[in-house]
Amino acid sequence: MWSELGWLAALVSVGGLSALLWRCRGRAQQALAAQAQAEQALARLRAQTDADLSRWQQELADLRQSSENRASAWADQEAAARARHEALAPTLEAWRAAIQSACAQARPLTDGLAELQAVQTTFERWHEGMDELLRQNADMHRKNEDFALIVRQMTIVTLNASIEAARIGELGRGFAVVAEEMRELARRAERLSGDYRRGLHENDLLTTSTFQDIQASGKLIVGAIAALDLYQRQVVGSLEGVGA
Amino acid sequence: MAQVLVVDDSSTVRNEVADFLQRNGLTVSTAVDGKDGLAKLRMDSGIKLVICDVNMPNIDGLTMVEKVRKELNNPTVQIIMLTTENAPAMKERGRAAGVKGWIVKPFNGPAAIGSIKKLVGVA
Amino acid sequence: MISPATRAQFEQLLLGALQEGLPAPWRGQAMLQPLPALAQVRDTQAVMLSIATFRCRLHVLVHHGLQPQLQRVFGPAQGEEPGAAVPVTDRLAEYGNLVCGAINRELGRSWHYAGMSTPSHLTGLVLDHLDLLRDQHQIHAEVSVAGERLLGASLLIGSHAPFEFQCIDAPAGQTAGELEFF
Repeated sequence: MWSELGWLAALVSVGGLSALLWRCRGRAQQALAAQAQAEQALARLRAQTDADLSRWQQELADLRQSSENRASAWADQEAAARARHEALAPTLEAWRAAIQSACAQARPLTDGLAELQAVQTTFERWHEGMDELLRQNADMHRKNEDFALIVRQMTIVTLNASIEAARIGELGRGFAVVAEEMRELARRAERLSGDYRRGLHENDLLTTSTFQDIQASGKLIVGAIAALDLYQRQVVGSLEGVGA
Repeated sequence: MAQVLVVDDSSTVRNEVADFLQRNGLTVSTAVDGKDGLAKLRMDSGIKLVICDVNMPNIDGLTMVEKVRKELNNPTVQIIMLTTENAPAMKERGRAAGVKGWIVKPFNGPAAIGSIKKLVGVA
Repeated sequence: MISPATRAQFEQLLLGALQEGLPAPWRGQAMLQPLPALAQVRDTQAVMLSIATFRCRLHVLVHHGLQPQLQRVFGPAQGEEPGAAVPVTDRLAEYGNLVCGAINRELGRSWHYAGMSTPSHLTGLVLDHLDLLRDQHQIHAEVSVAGERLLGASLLIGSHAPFEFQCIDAPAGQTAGELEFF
């Protein structure tokens, strides 16, 4: 009995052991397979890394080459720029000289404009002359009014003379004729005074208009000169700033 | 001795401006044109401020200002132009001659009195 | 010598200047009207000013009588001493100066250079002889306040060559009466 149990136990043990061994074998196979896979992946990774490294090394080499090429090109450009600058130096110097020359040439213009501003005194002189003309006009008005007054008085005197002549009668006829002639003269003088007065008003308008035209034109010219002087100073100032 | 000199060929403007300034406590003298203005400035060295027209007979306002600075050698008196003119070139001429301010007519006393008193030194 | 458009510009300029020159309390109440010719009844007084530019010459005339309404409109300002003996003719001369000044400013804006005269007093009798000045164009207007004629105005334009003129908008900046410091 014990030997049957023993054989059974042994069988079970062997069976169990076999199952265990089979399981272990399976697991080992799995592990080996996994290991093989891992080794394959590692090999692939290694290959990839080697490829990447190789590529990066190539790119680095290319970059290094490109950088050296660029530095060389820049050096060439710098040399060219320096050469152009040296070639331009005479031109720049010529411009500087031209600006200085322009400033020097502007000096007579500056002086001329400053002198031209003295035209103000010419306008003041014209103004004094026109003032005198207007005073003369006013004086002529007064004289004409005096004349008109005398003419009116003459008319009154001749009327009185006519009345006296009529009162005297026949003896006064010659006197009446003279009085009538005097009255006619007074009438003509009055008409002349009226014409003269109209002429004086025309004269006032023309003189005043001319006076004002001179005055306003003087301001126009002086204003234009002052503005030109200012602009010219600004231009010379800018030139001197650039040339410095 | 006046603090302010008003120079204008218009008696209307001289009276209006002088009356207003006097009502606001300032002493004022007046002149009828640039020539008269220069004469008044020569006589009264106490004048602190000139309010001056531009278009005047005899000597105009800007010429008067230039003469004040050069011939009278007075760099300190403050000058304000009161005029119908507003051209930039004319204002620039005034500024270059030492004009402090510019008013386009008509005169607005209440708007200007504060600044005028400051220029005279009484604000 | 000038086109109808330019003439219209000058007419607008005159009317605007006539209004702008009035004392502030009266500006809104004034009626300004262009006239085809000078009024038949002549005013007794006239104030004349001139503007010179390189293109043309302008004469500005303000003509008026001595009626009491003038004293009301142009008389002493509020607060001003009523005894200040400034004749109304002087006040009208300053009005003419303001009117001409406004026109002068506008021309200077367009053409850069313009010169203006000072006012001259004349009798109204000179108005019969305006044609003697040989200015090719005459523009006349009148100003009324409260339905009553206050004064007349004339703008005479003369030049030796044709020219055009167009008002340009005033730049934003200084307004009248304001003190601009440099």
